[in-house]
Amino acid sequence: MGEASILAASSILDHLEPRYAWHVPGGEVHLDSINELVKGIVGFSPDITTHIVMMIFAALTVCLFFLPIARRYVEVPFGLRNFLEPVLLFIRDEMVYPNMGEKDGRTYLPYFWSIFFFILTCNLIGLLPSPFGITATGNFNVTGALAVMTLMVGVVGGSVKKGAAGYWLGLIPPGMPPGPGGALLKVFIFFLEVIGLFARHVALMIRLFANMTAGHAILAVLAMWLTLTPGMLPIRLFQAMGSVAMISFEIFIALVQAYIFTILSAIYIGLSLAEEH
Amino acid sequence: MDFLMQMSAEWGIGLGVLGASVGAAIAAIAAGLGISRIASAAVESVARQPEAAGDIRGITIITAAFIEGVCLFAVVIALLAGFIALPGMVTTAVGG
Repeated sequence: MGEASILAASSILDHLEPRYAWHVPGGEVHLDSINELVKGIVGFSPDITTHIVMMIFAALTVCLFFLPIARRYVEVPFGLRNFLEPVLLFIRDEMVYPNMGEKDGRTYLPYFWSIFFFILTCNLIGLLPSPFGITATGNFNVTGALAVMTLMVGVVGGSVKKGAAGYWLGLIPPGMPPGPGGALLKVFIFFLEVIGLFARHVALMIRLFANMTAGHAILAVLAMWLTLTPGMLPIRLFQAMGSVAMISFEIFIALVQAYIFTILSAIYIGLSLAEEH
Repeated sequence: MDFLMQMSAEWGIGLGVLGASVGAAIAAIAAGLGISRIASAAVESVARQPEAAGDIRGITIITAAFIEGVCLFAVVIALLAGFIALPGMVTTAVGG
């Protein structure tokens, strides 16, 4: 029993890693053979894993929800539009416009809408049962790519708005003392600001990744405990109630993490675009 | 001699897992302390000025997520340390 539980513990977190075999009802989709097939045709393997399949699903789901209601002006909203429009307005009025003003906000608003709904959908798909229960944002490469996107939007947007030199030199706050001591201080502070820039975005990546992975690890451990008490029905009932409570908390965390990622992206890009007075 | 190597390997793996567990526990304590301070300040502020409850709710959730993010950095490092120790744990438990 001791050995079985240790082996179970070591394989718990395997299900959080991206795999090349996707379990669907009816069998298994062998993604590695699809990769080999495409490698034979095109020359390089697209390296599709279960996480990539989940990201494709998330993108298709977001399109499915938004394309029917987009580009049509309705005086009084109803139905799905009425459900999604306040969320979009909340992101616009509480997250983007306060940090960037209306002009820049209008330019960058599609980016924030896209990442909010993409991250939210990826997080929530991870909580669905079996063919879908894989969290794409529980992979640090995915969250790293999202953080790099925010970094690039900030750097490129700031460089387009202020000129490349204007952006990088604008990282140094005004009000440094003049003279050679001031120049040394400026170099030092520039160095610190660049490190801070990268560290902020790495924190963005780790925050989302760690929240999703920790939640699923706890759910996996709770499920493992369920396998260690065969036949004891009252205890299993309490274990199941604990798992239900944990999954409800995970739904809340999915929403909060999407919100946090988006508002921090808005703050960082707003900082990149801010003019010095 | 082989017995001594086995014993020191087991001690090493045990210390690795202990380090990871204690790290995660300290991260949990830190998260609890930080978020409890936010919550107490938030409840006091709402008691003093109930009309600001909406703004305070937003600030509470954002700052709680920041602090939880920092503690999850520590959890990620604890997971890494545990995973370095874990394969050794499996082979010594099953083989030894």
